[in-house]
Formats: sequence, C-alpha cells, structure tokens
Amino acid sequence: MPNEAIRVDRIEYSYGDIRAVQGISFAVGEGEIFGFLGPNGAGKSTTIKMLTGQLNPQGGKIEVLGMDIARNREKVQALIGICFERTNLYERMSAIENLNLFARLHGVKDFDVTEILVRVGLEQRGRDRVFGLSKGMKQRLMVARALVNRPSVLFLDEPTEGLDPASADNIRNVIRQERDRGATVFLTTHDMLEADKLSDRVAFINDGEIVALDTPDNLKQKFGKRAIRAQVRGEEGKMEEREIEMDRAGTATEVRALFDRDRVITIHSEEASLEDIFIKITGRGLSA
Amino acid sequence: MNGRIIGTLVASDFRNFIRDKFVSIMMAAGMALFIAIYFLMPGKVEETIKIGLYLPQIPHLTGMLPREEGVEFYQAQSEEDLKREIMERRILFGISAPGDGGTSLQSGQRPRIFVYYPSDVPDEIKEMGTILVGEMINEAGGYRSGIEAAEIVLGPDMGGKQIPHRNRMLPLLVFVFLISETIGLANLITEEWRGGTVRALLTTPMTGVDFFAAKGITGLWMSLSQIFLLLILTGSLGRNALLIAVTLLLGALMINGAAFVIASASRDMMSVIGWGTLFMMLLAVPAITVMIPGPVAGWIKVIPSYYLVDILHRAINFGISWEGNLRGLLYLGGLDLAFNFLGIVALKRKLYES
Repeated sequence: MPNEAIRVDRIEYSYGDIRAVQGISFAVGEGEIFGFLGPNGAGKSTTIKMLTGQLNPQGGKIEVLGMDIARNREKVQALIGICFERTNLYERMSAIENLNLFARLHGVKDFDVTEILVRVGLEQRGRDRVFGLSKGMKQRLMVARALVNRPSVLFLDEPTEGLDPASADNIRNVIRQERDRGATVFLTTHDMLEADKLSDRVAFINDGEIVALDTPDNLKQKFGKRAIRAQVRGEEGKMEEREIEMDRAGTATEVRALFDRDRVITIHSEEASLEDIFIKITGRGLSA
Repeated sequence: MNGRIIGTLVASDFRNFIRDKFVSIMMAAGMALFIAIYFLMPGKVEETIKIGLYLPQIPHLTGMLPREEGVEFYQAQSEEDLKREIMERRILFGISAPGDGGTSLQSGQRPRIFVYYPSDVPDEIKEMGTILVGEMINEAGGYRSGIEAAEIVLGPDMGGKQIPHRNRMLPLLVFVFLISETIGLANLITEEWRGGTVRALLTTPMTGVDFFAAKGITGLWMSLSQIFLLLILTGSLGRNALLIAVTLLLGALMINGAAFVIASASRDMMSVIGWGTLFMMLLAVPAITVMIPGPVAGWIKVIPSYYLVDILHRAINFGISWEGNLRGLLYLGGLDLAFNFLGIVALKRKLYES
C-alpha cells in the first residue's frame, strides 16, 4: 500500500447500550478509492463521523494525513472534503453563494467557482437559489461543495443514493477525477454495484465490525463462485435453465455436453456480486 | 478565534435573515408599528385639573375656593351645561348648588350642594371632590382650621414635568425589540440545526467558539440596529447616550444568551415561538411596571430583565447618569455571563451530540 491517508486503530463508539462501532481497524492508502459497505444501521455513518471529527471515538485512535484527529480536528478538517448523506445546503442562497461561503470558510483564495460548477454540470444553474434545484442538482452541489478546498481526502456518504442515472454518473466521474488528481476517496454506500465499479478496495461492516476487507476481485474470488448460466430448449421443446460451475476439472466436458445435447438459446458467464458475498458472510442483505 | 471565519458567517447569516421574507416583513412592520405607537401616545401629561361650578345663588362661594397651582375652575351656564362638560370629559367633576342653596346657607340651614362625577371616576377623585366641597362650606361658614399643611417633595420634584406615557412605554418597546430578535436568532440557529448546515460548518476549520461568536454578533446586530434606530427617531438618545448604549449592549448580550437557551430547547419555528413567548412573558414584567407605575414588589428584582429596564428608565426619563446606575450595570454584566454560559453549554451539547 502507498502512504496511508487514513489509519484507524481499534475505534469504538456506543450510543448508550448500543455498540455502533466495535473496535474496528483499517488503513486507506493515498490516492485510493475505499468503499465502505454495509446495510443501514451497520455503523457506516458513525464511522464517517469519527473519521471527519464530528464525533470523538470512545476508544482507539484515528489518524488522517498523519495527524491524530482528536488533537488536530481543525487542521485535518482544512484538508478534507465531506459530502453528507442528507442535503444540508443554505436553501435561500444560490449555488454560487453556497460554494463561495465554504471556500471563504476554508480560506481558499484562488477559488474558481465556474470551474467547479462545470465539473458537476451546474454551470447554467449557479445563480439559482438552492430551494429551486432538483434533488440530483442539490446532490451534485453537495459534491461540489466538498471539493472547494481541493481536499486531500474526500469523504462521500451515500453520494448517489436515490439519484437519476445522469446525476449518479456525473458524481461517479467526479470521484474518478479526484482519484486521478491524487486525492483519497472514502466512499460509504450500500449500492454494491457502485462500490464494485469505483472502489480499489472495499470493507464490509456489519453490526459495528468489519467482516471483510479486500479488493472487489479478491473478495469475489475468495467468497464467490464462477458459473456459466445458459437458457436451452430441451428435447420436448421446453425452455430450461442450466448452470455449470467453473474452475472444476469437468467444466469443459459439461459445456461441450450442453451444446451437444440441447439447443442453446443464451449463454452467460456469471460472477458473484458483492451483495452475494456480503449475504454469504453475514447472512443479511446490504439493503436491509 | 478566527476573524475571517466569523466575518464570513455573520455576512452569510445577514443574507439568510434578510431573505427570510416572513422574518424581514415582520421586522419592518414591527419597527413601523412601534414607532407609530410611540408617536400616537400622548407626548405630555395633562397636569391641570378642571373643576366645573354652577353656583347661581351663592356666587361668592367661588371666591372662597382654594386657589392651587394646576387647578382651574369652569363656570357653567346651567346645570345641564355642567353635566354635559362632565360627560364630554372636559372637566373632572362638577359642583352644583341649584335653587335656594344661598338662602339656606344664610339662614343657617343645611344647604344642598351636588357633586357630579363621570361614571368611571376613581375613588381618589371622588374623595377630592368631597374634601373640596367640605372646604367650601367651612370657608362659607367661617370655620378655619388652626393647622397649616406644607408640601415637601422628596427626590426630584416631577411637578409640572411628569413623564409622558410614550416615554414610560420606551423601555417596553426596547424590550419587545430585544425579545423579538431573540426569537429571530433562536430561529436562525434552529434552522441551521434542522437543515444540517451546522454540521457542514463545523466540519470546516471553524471552531465552536467561532460559531458562537458569529451567532452572537448576528444577534447583537439584529437587536441593537433596530433599537438605536427607534431611540434616534424618538429623540431619546440625547441624554446619557453612552450609558444607554452600554446598557443596551449588556442587555442584548443577556438576551443573546437567552436565544441560545431557547434554540437548544427547540426543534422548529413553532417551538422557538413557544419558548420565546414564555421568556417574553416573564422578562416583560419589569417593563410593564414602568409603563403602569404603582407599588412594585421586591421580587421583581429577581427577574433578569429588571436591571436592564430600570437603568434605561432612569437614564432616559430621569436623566440619572453612571453613578446612580453602576450597581445595576454590574448585575447586568453578571447576568450576561450566566445566560451566555448556560446557553452555550446547552446549545453545544445539542449541536455536537446530534
């Protein structure tokens, strides 16, 4: 792993008797997109709040960009960008005014508001008050706000949840651009397809504990099964489904037999999805 | 504390406050209404008492009435004229001796003299009328008391320079401005909390101290700008301007602390209005006692706004300067610290733990 942008060492947090985060540890490298996956209530938001200095861990230690966040909260916050799960913009201010406000709070002097609006596709709506923007536009503005200080680490909490495909795609492009710029991206989501598309590595969190952490490919290899799925018309002319597991000694023979015996209508290779793996590990779905 | 961050947030608060149509319309309408109320209230106190007389048979009795400063007599043409003047509130009460009142007096009989009052006359005026008639009769009968009463006024003699109602109302108007801005500030903070913008702010390099300082400055600006405008327009800032300014600053700081407390207990505008009204009802009592003077119980000093109202009343209406108000200013300073400490602790708990 390159230099660590985030190091988390056995952090804990409880809300009364409920243990939201139970001694988790992990590290995220500079320039990496790190997917943090888990269902609602698994501890994702509590973890991101601790990583960004909104909550102090009740145990353990967090270092962001080499600084202990408990002791250097403001210094760390000057170098990170956060896109919250819930829209929290100044509704009576325009998109430009919102961005300028946060640029000034961060002390950014050479801030180019037009450039940032173009990146999120809002250049035509910059002067509109936020209350007049659609949900997708507001979310893109939230991402733009997280970028005003050119952050070294970008925290994105469910950035594409409930968005139209065009808005979601725009946000994914911005995430990739930020990674290309050298920023580290910490992405929490329960959209396994998005995490699979974007993340260099993913961690699964369930009941406040990390249950798996690796690259999506390694996780699929380790926990998933590869198979060939075919639709065939059988001897009596009925449509049937056949599944042949790959990576076995007899796979090639079985595939040949399929073509010899039946009339193959469609055939696909099939990989386990991250959700399949999550279900396999935890016994519950990501959208639960 | 970071001046750039505080200035940026104050400017943003100002913008949001002005763009809240409901709040800004209420603010402008309130200002216009209060100034109108002030100028509609009587600007001077009528200190002359007018008494009507209808004494056709005993006109010499008129000359026997005590001649006091501030007492005028109206000679009615008829009993009907006397009654009309009373009903139309042009005279306070009327004395009538119709028929053979004079003959009765001369012949040693008990004369019949009537004293007419309007229906809503206070008991003190009735008493005054009875004493006056008694004195007239004594003078007419040649009875003279051997005792002479002398008037001695303790403290500033306000005879002839009574405080007009509009000036008595000033502390209440100032107070209403302060408390309405308390609601404005508490609502601004509650909106930030509800909308989550406070989370966005507190994850920038802004510290909690910067946040509270900015909100405090916004609150002071909101309340003091209007109050000074009111005092300038009503010409009340002439005397003791510096003392009044310092008092208002300390009072506004106290009220800011109250706004933090209200914001910490509120979830939306309705709860801000609910808590704000409760505070207003309690804190307005001292200002009401200035407007409607009477014996004030000692417990009123327990109400935190007492010292604010008392210093303003003494400075604006009696011209009492620093020396006479130092103790009140110290109390007010102490209350500022207490209210702001309580407000910041309560609000910080809410903002950081939500």
